[in-house]
Amino acid sequence: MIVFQQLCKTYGRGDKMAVDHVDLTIPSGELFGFIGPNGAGKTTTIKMMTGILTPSSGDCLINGVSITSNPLEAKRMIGFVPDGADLFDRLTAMEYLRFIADMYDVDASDFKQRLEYYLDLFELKDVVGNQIRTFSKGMRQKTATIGALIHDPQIFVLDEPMMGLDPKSSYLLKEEMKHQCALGKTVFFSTHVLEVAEKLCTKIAIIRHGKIVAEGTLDELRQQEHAASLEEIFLELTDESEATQE
Amino acid sequence: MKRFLRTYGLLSRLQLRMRISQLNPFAQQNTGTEKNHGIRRLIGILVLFIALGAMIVVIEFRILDALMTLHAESLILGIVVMAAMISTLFFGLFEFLSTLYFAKDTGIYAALPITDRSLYASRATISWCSECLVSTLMILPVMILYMIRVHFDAGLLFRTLVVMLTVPLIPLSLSACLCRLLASFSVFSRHKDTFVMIGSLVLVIGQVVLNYSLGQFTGNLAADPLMMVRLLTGKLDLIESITKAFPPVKWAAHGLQGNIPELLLYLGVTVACVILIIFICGKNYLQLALRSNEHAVSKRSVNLSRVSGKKTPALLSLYHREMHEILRSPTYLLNEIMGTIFMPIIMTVGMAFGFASAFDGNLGLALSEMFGSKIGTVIPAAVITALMTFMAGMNSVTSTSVSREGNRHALYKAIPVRGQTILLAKLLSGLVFSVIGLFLPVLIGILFLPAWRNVFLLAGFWSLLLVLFDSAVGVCIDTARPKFHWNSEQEAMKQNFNQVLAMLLGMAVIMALGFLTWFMLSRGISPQVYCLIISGLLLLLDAASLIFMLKKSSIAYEHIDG
Repeated sequence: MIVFQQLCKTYGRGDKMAVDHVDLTIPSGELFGFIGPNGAGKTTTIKMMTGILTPSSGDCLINGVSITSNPLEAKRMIGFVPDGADLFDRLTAMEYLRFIADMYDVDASDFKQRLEYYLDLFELKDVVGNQIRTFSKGMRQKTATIGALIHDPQIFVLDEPMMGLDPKSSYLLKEEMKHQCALGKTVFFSTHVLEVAEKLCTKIAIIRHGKIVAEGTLDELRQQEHAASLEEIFLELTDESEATQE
Repeated sequence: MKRFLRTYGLLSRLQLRMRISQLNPFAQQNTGTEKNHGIRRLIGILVLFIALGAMIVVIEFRILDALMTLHAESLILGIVVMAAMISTLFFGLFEFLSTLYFAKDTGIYAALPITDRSLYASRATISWCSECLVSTLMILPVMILYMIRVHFDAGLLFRTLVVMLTVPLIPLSLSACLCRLLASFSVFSRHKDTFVMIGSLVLVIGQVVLNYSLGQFTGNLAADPLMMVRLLTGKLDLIESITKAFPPVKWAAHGLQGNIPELLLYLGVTVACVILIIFICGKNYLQLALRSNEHAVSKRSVNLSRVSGKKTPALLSLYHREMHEILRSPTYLLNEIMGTIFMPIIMTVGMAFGFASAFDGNLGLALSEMFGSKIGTVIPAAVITALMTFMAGMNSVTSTSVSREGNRHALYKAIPVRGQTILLAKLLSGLVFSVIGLFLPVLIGILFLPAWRNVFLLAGFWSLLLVLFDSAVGVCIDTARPKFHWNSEQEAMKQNFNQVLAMLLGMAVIMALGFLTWFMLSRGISPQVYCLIISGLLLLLDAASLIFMLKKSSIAYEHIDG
C-alpha cells in the first residue's frame, strides 16, 4: 500500500511548486497509472516516493513505513525502474544485477532462481556478460526492470517503462506488471501512452501543475467527465486546468 | 575557407560557453536542503587562492633572488617556458583523447552540416584555452616578478603575452598527432578501451624517455646534483644548456629576452604546427571520433549454474562498483595512473638513481654537500613526505566521486544503503590509488638508497596519514557541491572545480606543516619530539576528517537532490 500525505516539493525560494499537496492512497494489488503532461510533476512525485528526492513537506508511506523518517526500510520494499534507464555503464549486466542483489541483501539461491527466470523472460541470457554501455535503450530498460524485480519487491515503481521497448518486450513487461498485481503487490507507473494506461490500469490519477486533478477507476473518470476515452478525459482535464489557471 | 571559418567560429563559441559553465564553481551547488552559501564560498576560495599564490610568489622571489646574485636571472625564463611545455605535453594527451575522441556529444555534431576540420579545430581550440590557463598560472607570476625586479618595458609585456598564449600550441600539436595515431589503431580493436589505456601509457613512457634522453636537463639534475651549482656559477651557457634538446623553448626564452628574430621563428613554427595538425588530423575526424565511441553487443552469456552463491556485504559491493568504473574507463584510469602513481615513480627513480650514482647511496652525504650542514632523518623525511603527498594529492578519485555518479545518482539514492557506507566505499576506492602511489616510491627509495630506509619509512607513514586526510576531505567537498551534468568522463573528473579545491586544500595543509616544521626545528625541538608532534597532529587531522565525512557529509549526501 502506498499513501501520499500532503506531499509537496518546492524549488527555488519556495515559489516554484513542482508537486502541490498530493494526497493519494493506493491499496495493495492495485495497478496504478500516473499520467500527466510534460513537466506536470510525475517524475518528481515518483522520486520523492522512492527516496531519491526529499519532500519539502508531507510524507509518503510505503506499507505504513515513512520514506522520510525510515528511508532504508521503505526503500527495501520498493523496486524502481528509473526514467531513461541510466545504469552503471561500465558494469556488465550480470555485475549490475549482482550489485543490486547485494544492496537488497537477496539470498543467493533466490538470486539465481529469479535471475534465470527474468533473463529468460526478457531474452537477455545471451548478452548478460556484456558491459551495459554496449546495450541499446531497450536492453537497458530490460536490465533495469530485472534489477527492480530481483529482490521481489512489495511495491513495483516504474517511470515511463515502455520507452524504447520493442512491441514484444513491451507486452512482456505489461504481463509482468499484471502478474505482480495478481500476487497482491502494488504496481505504480507513470506513462505518456494513454492506451497503455487505459488497458492496463485498475486505477488512474491525472496530475497537472503538481496537483492531482482527477483520480479513480477508468469508469469513474468517464462518469465524472462525461467522456468516452481516457484521451478525451485527459485532454479535457488538462485544458480545463489551463483555462482555470489563465 | 569562408565556410570553415564561419562554422569554426560558431562551434568554438558554443563549446567555450559550455566549458565556462562547467568550470564555474558557483554552478556546482548542492541543490538539496542545504542553504546556498555562495558569498562565503567565494571568500573561502579567494583566500585559499591568494594564500597559495602568495606562497608560490615567495618561493619564486627567493629563486630569482639567488639567480640575481649570480647574474643569471635570465635562466628563470627558460625554466618556466620549458616547465609549461612539459606539463602541456603530459596532460595534453589525455585532454585531447577525451575531448576529441571520447566526448559523448559527437553524434549531435555529426548530424550538423559542418566540416570535419571545423569541428576538430573548434574542439582543439577549447583544449588550447584550458592549457593556456595552466601555462598562464606557471608563467605569469614569474614574469611579473621578472618585470618588477629585473627589467620592464612595454615590449617585454607584449612578448610575455604572446609567449604565454602560444606556449601550449607546439606540445598540443605533438599530443594531437599521438592521439590521432592511437585513435586510428584502436578502432580496429574489439577492446578499444584496453588498447587506448595501454597505448597511452606507452606513449607517456615514450615521452618521458624522450625527455630524459634528449633534454637531459631533468635527467642531469637528478643524476648530477652539482649541475645546478655549475649552472648557477655560469660554467654553462644557461638557457642554451636547458633548451638545446627542444629548440622552440630556446627561441621562446630568447624571444622573451628581446631577440625578435628568434621570437618570430618560434611563432612561425607554432603557427605552421597548428595549421598542419588541423589539416592532417582534421581529415575524416568525425568518422574516427564516431567509431571510437561505437560498441557492439556480442553474444556473451554467463553460466548461471556457476554464479557465485556468496552474498557480498554492501560496502564491498559498492567498492567493487567504484573500482570497476575506474579501472574500465581509460580517462579515469589514465588520469589516476599519471598523477598519482606514475609521476611519483618517475621522480623517485630519477632521484634515487641520481643520488645513488653520485654519492654511492649515501643521501645524507649528498644533502650535506648540497646544504653544507649535517642533516638527520626528519628534514629529508619531511621533504619527501611533502613531495609524495603533493603527487598523491593529484588523486581526483575521491574529490570527484559523487560527481562521477552523474545521471546514475538516482540509482544510488534508490538503494537501501546508508550514505555513510556509500561515502566510505568511495573513500576506499580513492585510497587504493594513493596508497599504491606512496608504496611504490617508498619501495624504490628503500631499494636504491638502503642507507635512507628509515627516512623513506617515516615519509611513507606520514604521507599515508596525509593522504587519508586529503581523500576524506575530497569526498566531503564533492558531497557538498557535486557536479552531476557532464558530457565526457574527462569533464566529470578533470573539469571539476572540486578536484582543484581539494588539491589546493591539500597543498595548503602541506605548506602549513612545512611552516610548523621550520618553526619547531628552528626553536631547537629534538627530532624525536618533532616526529611525535607531527604524527599526533596528522592522526588528529585524519580522525577529524573521517568523523566529519561519516557524520556530516553522509547526511548531506542523503539529502542531495540530483
